[in-house]
Parts: sequence; structure tokens; C-alpha cells
Amino acid sequence: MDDVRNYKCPACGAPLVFSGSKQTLHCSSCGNDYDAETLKIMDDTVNAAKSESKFDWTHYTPRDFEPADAEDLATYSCPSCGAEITGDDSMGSTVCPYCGNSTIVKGVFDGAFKPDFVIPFEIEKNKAVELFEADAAKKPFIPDEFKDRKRIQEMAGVYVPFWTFDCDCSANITYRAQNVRMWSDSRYDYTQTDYYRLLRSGSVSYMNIPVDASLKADDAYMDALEPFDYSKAVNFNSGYLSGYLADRYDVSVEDSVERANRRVENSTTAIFRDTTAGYQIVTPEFTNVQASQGKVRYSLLPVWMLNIKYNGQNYKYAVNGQTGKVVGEYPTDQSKKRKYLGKTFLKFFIPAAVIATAAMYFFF
Amino acid sequence: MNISIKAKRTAAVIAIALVIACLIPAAAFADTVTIPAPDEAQSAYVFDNSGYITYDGIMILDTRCEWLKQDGINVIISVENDPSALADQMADSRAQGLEGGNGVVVAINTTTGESICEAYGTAAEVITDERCGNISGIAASELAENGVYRACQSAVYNIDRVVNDGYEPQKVDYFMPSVTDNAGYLSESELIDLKQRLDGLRADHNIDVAIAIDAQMWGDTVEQAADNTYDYYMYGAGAGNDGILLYISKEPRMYQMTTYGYAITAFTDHGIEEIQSQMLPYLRNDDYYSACMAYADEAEYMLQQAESGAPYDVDSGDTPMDTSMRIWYSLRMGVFAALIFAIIAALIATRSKSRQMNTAREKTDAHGYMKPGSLNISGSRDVFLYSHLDRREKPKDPPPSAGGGGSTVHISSSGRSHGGGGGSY
Repeated sequence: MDDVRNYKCPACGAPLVFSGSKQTLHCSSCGNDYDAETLKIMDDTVNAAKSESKFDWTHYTPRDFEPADAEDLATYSCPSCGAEITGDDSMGSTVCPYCGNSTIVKGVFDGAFKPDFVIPFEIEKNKAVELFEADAAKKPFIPDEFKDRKRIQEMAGVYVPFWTFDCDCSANITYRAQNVRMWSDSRYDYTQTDYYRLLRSGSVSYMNIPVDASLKADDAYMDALEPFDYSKAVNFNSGYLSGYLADRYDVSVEDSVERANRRVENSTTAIFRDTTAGYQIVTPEFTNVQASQGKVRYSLLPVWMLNIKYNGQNYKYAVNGQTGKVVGEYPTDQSKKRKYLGKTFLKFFIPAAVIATAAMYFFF
Repeated sequence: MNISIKAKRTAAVIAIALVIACLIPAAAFADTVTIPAPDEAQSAYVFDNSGYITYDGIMILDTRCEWLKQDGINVIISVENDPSALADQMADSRAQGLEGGNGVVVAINTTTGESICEAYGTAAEVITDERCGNISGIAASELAENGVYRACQSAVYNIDRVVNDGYEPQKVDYFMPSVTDNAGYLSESELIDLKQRLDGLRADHNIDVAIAIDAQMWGDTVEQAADNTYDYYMYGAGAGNDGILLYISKEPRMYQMTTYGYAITAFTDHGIEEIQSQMLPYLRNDDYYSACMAYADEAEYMLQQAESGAPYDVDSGDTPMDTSMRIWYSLRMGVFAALIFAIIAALIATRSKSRQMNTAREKTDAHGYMKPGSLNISGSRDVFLYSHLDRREKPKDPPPSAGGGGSTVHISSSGRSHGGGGGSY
């Protein structure tokens, strides 16, 4: 053997002794034999899996706007919620996309950071409203008044700032697996359990994982609007902003990285887990995920935002400005919900009662 | 009348000694009739020269006469089969044995079919000539239809009726009402209802189906109490006294079904168990009316089965009560299970619909952002570690119980064989 290592028996933990006659590592405590080469590979993988996961993102240096780009822009601030949004200098009356307040104040453009790329709006405002109404119409417990009497504040088109993350991810994961077999003969019942250790190493790459960089934009809403088609992304040009508002980032890369890491780790472990088929019970043992070549970009993604006041509460909605996907929270008419509950209960209860009674009668 | 049998027996033995002492001078006056030696059954009141009455029959009649004596009337029963022994002559002879010369003598000749009832001394005031005539007529009729033992039973019964209840003698199919409640377990209307039911069964099947409820158990064991009640109160139909009696005692809480004669065949051990299983839940819950009705329903079923030639036994299926209980049980369980299921299912369905109301949800994975084709599993190895075999010996099934069916019998204090079963509730 090249290096001196003391191997422990994977089954009982007792020290293993090399048996020259059998050319294996033997455990005197439980009597199992293991192949030396296999043990070494396993040991290496386990050690790799045991170490801490690392995510290595390159630091982002923001770029500034060229003065020429900046001359048509103005900064709008909302006295109600404190949002500061960039927009066309010549925009008429605008409504705050985050809280629906219509008394926003225009100010001098103070040079927001220039994005790396933008996905332009493909959905027009009318279409967005239409899509929203269609979505609302399908909801099961919408109060009737909401459909008829909603007070729509202006739907506002906003470019929401996002950090997008690319990385290569390598992983070392070990699993414990079991297969159980049961059978009987005339005298005994047998249960045989085979124990395995599964080793997986590999890599996978990710592109454009988005994390919204605006404090004001609700993470849940922005996540739910995914996916955006990045093949339509273009290099930023201030011309795209005309007629729309653009928010600037106020969440740093460092603060956003955590969300990206989590998503990368979850996806990687899941996809590796998919490769462990063929066992009845699989439990992860040690997991090591490393992200490298991490690249961060600052981008603007198109979103239609709508606020509706109903029964004294503000309901927010977002429509993906590229794909038209609608997300949001609708008010629930409790009586409709109760009626549905009651109807469904009867639907299940009556046939179930008949079947259950018959089953009880014939089998007991 | 809850005097123990033992006391009665002792009294009987002493009485016999006295009678023998008295009979010796009486023998001198009798001319054509010889008084034979007493039977194997030691009785002071019952003299059977025909041999037709069984041992237990004599014991029972003897006890009844003893009770009547305590009620103030001496009774002697005389049975002959010698055609030359005329009944009225027999009566006068036997009358010599009446204490103080007061009492009633019932004389029956099984060969001639004669039956006579004579009252002597003070007894004649109560048992008038007319009544004597009735009693005789009824006894003769019973003798012809059901044999001498039944005739004797009817005589004793009628004397009792007249003396204790003030009723006129009557020919009856059954000597006891079908339902007797001395513990107040049943209300008036329940009693009437049950009586009607059981009287109907008595009429339909020519067998006694009865219920007797005592406040205090008449015996050391409920088995004794039930058997003795059946025997000494003369339950049972026809010559064979066939019938089943459900005996319930309030103190202690015990019950017993006792069977005699044909009822032993009709109600097998398994059948009795079946009735028990139907009655017991009601008894335990103090629902006596339902318990008695269950008894009546099951008894009816068993009698029908017996009449069709196949008494209800281990290889029979479910009784109608079993079936209806099963249906009811299945319904309850089925509805309950369906209720739970439907509630859960409806909640899940509604929750799922509710979730549609809010589509804003954070994402925790990056599946959509995986570069296609970038997944590269460079190292994949499944290492077999070890195997563990667990071996468990199979539990041995207990041998099947030796259930063959049929009815077990036991001997009661009168000497009769009774079947049945019971327990505490």
C-alpha cells in the first residue's frame, strides 16, 4: 500500500486488518471482508465530501453611466413608500409601481449604475391588463365584487434590477443505501438487508440564476415570474427605458449571493440524487458542493406591476413583461371557499361511504 | 317461595316415617286395595304404583305438595295402573294419610283413564265439589293427551291456583306465564310486549320459551337457580316438559339459559353461545328489554332451524341477528371511515384550490438555469458494504379447538338433564 492508513470497518467501526491469504481487508469483529482498492476510493470521496462547501463568486464592480446616456433620464421618488426610480425625463404622470401612489416626485437624475444587459418589454400594457384579467377570471374563490368593481391603479411597467449568477459547480456526495428483501419458508421468516455506500462526484454548470436586487421588489413575486428568456437579452441602451420606469439595485451582490448559493446547492444535490436509482432507501451522508468561475452580472428584467385596493387592503400583482406570466395574491371569498369545501366533502363522502360499508361487510 | 330443597327433603324423610307409622293401622281397614311399599323416590305425598312417573317427576311433584302444605293444604297424589283399583276407593284409602284428616287426594288410574279429586275435612271448604270436579276433568283430559305426569302437574297447578290465587281450575298449556319479572327490570308495557312475543312463540312451536327474572338468585349458582326454577315451577310444554328458560337474577348479576327435553336438541351449545353474544351487550348496559327481545328473536330462529331438521350449530352460518348486526356494524365503520376520508380529501382539495389564489412563491432551486448537457458525473461507484440476515421463527398456530357441535347436558338437583349456558353480566 502506498500510504499507511488505518481503515475502519464500514459496518461496525472496528479496525480492519489486511489478510494476506485473501488479499482483502478483514474485520475480525463482524467477519466482513472489503477490497482494499474500493476502500481507498471510498475513503477519498468521503473525505472530499466531508469538507466545507465553497462558493467562489468573482467580485462585481459596477459601471457608471456615460454622461451622454444620462441626459434624458430623471429620478422619481415616491413619498409614500420611499422608492427611488429612474425614468424618462419626459414621462407624464406616473404611478409608483411598488405602492400605487400617484404623487411621485420627479428629481434630477443622479447617475444610477449602468446595467450589463436588459431584456426588453415584449408585452404591451393593454395586453398585460388583459392577461391579468384573464388570470383573475380563472381563480376559484375570487369575490364577485373583485371581478366587477376593482379599482385598478395604473399598471406600471418597471425594469426590475437583478443580479444574475453563472457558475461551474463541482460536487462530491456520498450516500448510504439499503435494499431489503423478505421471504419465508415453512419454519422461518427471513429479512435480509444489504448495506451500500454510494459515491458520486461530478460537475454541472449554471447560467443566469436571477436574484432580484431591489429591496422594494418582493422576492417571492420576482422568483415566481421566472423564467425569463435570456436569449432575448441585449446590451443595455437607455433607449429601452423610454415609456418605462427602471429601478436601481439597492441589495448588494454579497447580500444576494446567499440566495444563489442555496439554489445552486439544492439543484446540484437533487440532480446527483437522481443518479442513485436502484435502491429502496437512500440517505445522503456527506455533501460537498463547490462553485467556481462564478460570474455576476447586473441586468434589468421587464415587469408590469399592478396594485389594487380591495376592502381596505392592497393587493399586488406582477406580469412578466416578456412572457406574460401573471403572479400575485388574490383576495379569497370565504363563503365561496366554504361552499367548495362542503361540496367536495359530499362528493367524496357519499361514494366513499357506500364503498367502505360494502368493503367492511364483505371482508370483516 | 325460596325454601331450599334440602330442607324440603329432610321434612319429607321425617314425614315418611310418620306416614309408615300411620299406614299400618290403615292397612287393616283396606280390603281390596293393598298399599304397596314406597317407590325408590322417597315421597310423602306422591305414590306411584304404575311406574310411569320418573324419579325426577316424583321429586318435583313432591316439592310442589310440600309447598302446598306450607300454604295450608295437604295434598296426596296416588297413581295406579291396576284396572281393579277404582279411583274413588283409592282416594279414600289414601285420605287416611292426610294430616288431621284435612286435605285433597288426587287419584289417577292410568289403565282405566280415571281421574278423581276429593277434598276432605276443612279442605272441602276451599276445594269445593264443583272445583274438585273441574280438577278431575282437567286431569283426565291431560292424562289422555299428555300422560300421567302432566295430569299430576295439572292437578297440583290447579289446587295451587284455587288455594293461593282464588282462581277457578283451568286447563292450560303452560303452568307459568312466559315472562315473570320480580326485579322490576321491565316496565309494564315492556312486559306486555315481551309476553305477547313469547306467547306467540309458544303457540307457534309448541315448546316453552320463557323468561324469569328474580331479585335474588335462587340458589348458590345461577345454573342451579335456573334449573330449579324450570323444574319446580313446572316450565315446559306437553308431556315432555320441553322448553327453554332464560333466568336472570338481579343480585348477583347473573343469567342462565336452561333447556330441557326437545329444547336441548334445538338449542346447541353453539346456539346458546350465539344467543349469549347477542344478549350480553344489552344486559351489561342494563337494557333488559332489548336483551329479552334478542333472546326471543334468536330463540325463534333456532326453533325454526331445528324444525327444518338442522339445529343451529357450529357449521351453520350467521343468524339473521348476526347479519343485521354485521350490516349495522359495517355501516357505522364504513360511514366513519368515509367521513374521515372525505374530510381529509375535501381539506386537501380546498387547500390546493386555495393555493392558486396566491402564486407568488420563492424558488429554492436553480433547475431552470442548469446549462443543458453540462452535467458530468465523473465518478460514480456503488460499494457493497455488508449484509445482515434476520431470521425469525414463525409462530406456531395453536391447534384448532375440538369443536364438533352438539349440546352438553348436566344433571340438576331434581335429577333431570338440562342443557344451556350463561354467566355474569
